[in-house]
Amino acid sequence: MTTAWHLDQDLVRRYAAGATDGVLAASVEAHVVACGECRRRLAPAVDRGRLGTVWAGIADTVDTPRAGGFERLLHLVGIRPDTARLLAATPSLRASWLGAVAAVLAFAAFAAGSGPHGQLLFLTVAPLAPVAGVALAFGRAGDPTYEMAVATPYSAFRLLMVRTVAVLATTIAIAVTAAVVMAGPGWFAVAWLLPALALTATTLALAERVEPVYAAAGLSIGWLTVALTAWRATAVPALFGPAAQLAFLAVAMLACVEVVRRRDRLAYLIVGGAS
Amino acid sequence: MTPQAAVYADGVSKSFGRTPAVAGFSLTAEDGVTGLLGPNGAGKTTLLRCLATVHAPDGGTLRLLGRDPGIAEQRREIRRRLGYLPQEPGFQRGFTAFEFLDYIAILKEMVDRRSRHDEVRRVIAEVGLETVSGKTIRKLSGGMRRRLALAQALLGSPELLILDEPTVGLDPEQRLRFRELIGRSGEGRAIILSTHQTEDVAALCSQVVVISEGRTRYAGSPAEMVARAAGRVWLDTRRDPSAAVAWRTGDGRYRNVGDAPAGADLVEPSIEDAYLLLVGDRALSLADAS
Repeated sequence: MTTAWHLDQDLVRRYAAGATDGVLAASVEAHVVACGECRRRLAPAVDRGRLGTVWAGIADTVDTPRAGGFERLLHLVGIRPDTARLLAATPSLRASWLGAVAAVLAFAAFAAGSGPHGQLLFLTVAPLAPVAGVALAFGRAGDPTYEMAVATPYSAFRLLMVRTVAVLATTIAIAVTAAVVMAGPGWFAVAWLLPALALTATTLALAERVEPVYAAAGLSIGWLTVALTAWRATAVPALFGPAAQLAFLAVAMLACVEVVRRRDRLAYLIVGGAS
Repeated sequence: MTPQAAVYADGVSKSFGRTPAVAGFSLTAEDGVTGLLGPNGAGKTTLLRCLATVHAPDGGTLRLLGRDPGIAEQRREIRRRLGYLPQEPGFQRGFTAFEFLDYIAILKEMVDRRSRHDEVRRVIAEVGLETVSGKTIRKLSGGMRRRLALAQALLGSPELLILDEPTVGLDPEQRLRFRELIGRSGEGRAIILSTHQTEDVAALCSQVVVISEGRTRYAGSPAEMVARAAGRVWLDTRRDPSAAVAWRTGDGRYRNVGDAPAGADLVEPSIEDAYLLLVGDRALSLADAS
């Protein structure tokens, strides 16, 4: 094939440096495929280091398996690919878990429409969703790679925090949605939030000594016992009143301080409650 | 014998509640392969967890790569140069083999995406899983998962490799490949592995440590361990009452291990004989006898 047009020295230099726009670069590439003379002129102008980088980039793109659906969703909302992969490894952020949480809370919200007892059922159940989610995000029972992860230089405290924030954000979003559709006084829709935070933070504070799932199970049983006692005592239990809410806030804050203060303990395997 | 060795343990102990799992363990390991032999419940896993920095010892002195794992910053330095294969490695089974290794590589602080992916591909090739790297882990066979678990330990070419029973679940061909791999990668790094397979020790290790009930029963070369059993293994048509351990072999005769009576038909000891002498039924101690 013959052509009147050839690459001049300036275009060779600009193309070799990657300084041409997409359209011009495509024209150059289409031409050099057919023109041996321009290929010879272009070849010595291309920096070998740059060529290697470009080639490695192509190889990586072709060779790297596509991220799963959940990770791509996280990329879409602006989460960095590295962090997205750490979150994708969290069992309580999987679709099956979040679906189960949504189903339980939808049932509780539906029950809330039946009257005060239904509303109390929702308020009692809603705080347990984030607690269970956080407990399954870290530790031997919830994270199958936990022991390998502890032996890496990545801070276990940071990993716990990243996952806790993600689990809280998703489960609380589900619970708030359920609460919004629930019939009842406005404050009822958020009255479960501070108990949820208090229970979650206490689970984390205990996680430095006890497997998180055991801590969460114990705390959940305790919470259900208290709630049941309060139900029996009064029609509108003081458990969700202003004084109790302040107490939950205090517990949550104290537990958070404890988590931060003892964060170095997370650098080792948690052995309490498990072999 | 210096705290600058890859592993320097002096009187290391670890208890859970009142139960001592490791009691006064000492070891110095330089580059090369050190094999840890011992019966189930001997404390091998707890000990390896201490060496992998995931357990903090209760007592004694432990230095890894010349650093103190009890100090947070030094522990992090150790972990940057450490590969660890736990006894029961778990996986996110929905991940592909590549995604799982990439996840561990992120935890190993490999920040640059492209070079991290290159490293993931390198270890996948190292353990021979190239053809299944895009498959989800739930579709991999047990042997492939063991190799995948080993691959994560090799990420970043660590200077210290702690492998807890790496050959469990591997068929003979895979065990051979594993030995080749460890033999290749043993130079310029220290590898501590535990095993039930005495042949693994004979084939791989320059140093062997036998532990039982949390204590060291033997530490030295495999050849010396075998030599110490010389004159204490004999064949007989019956189970000799003076033997510590005896079993019926394929030709119908009994292989007796222990203090041989005069005139016994002595045979060359194997490393397994030597091991059984150390921790066998009556736990005859060569250390005490010699």
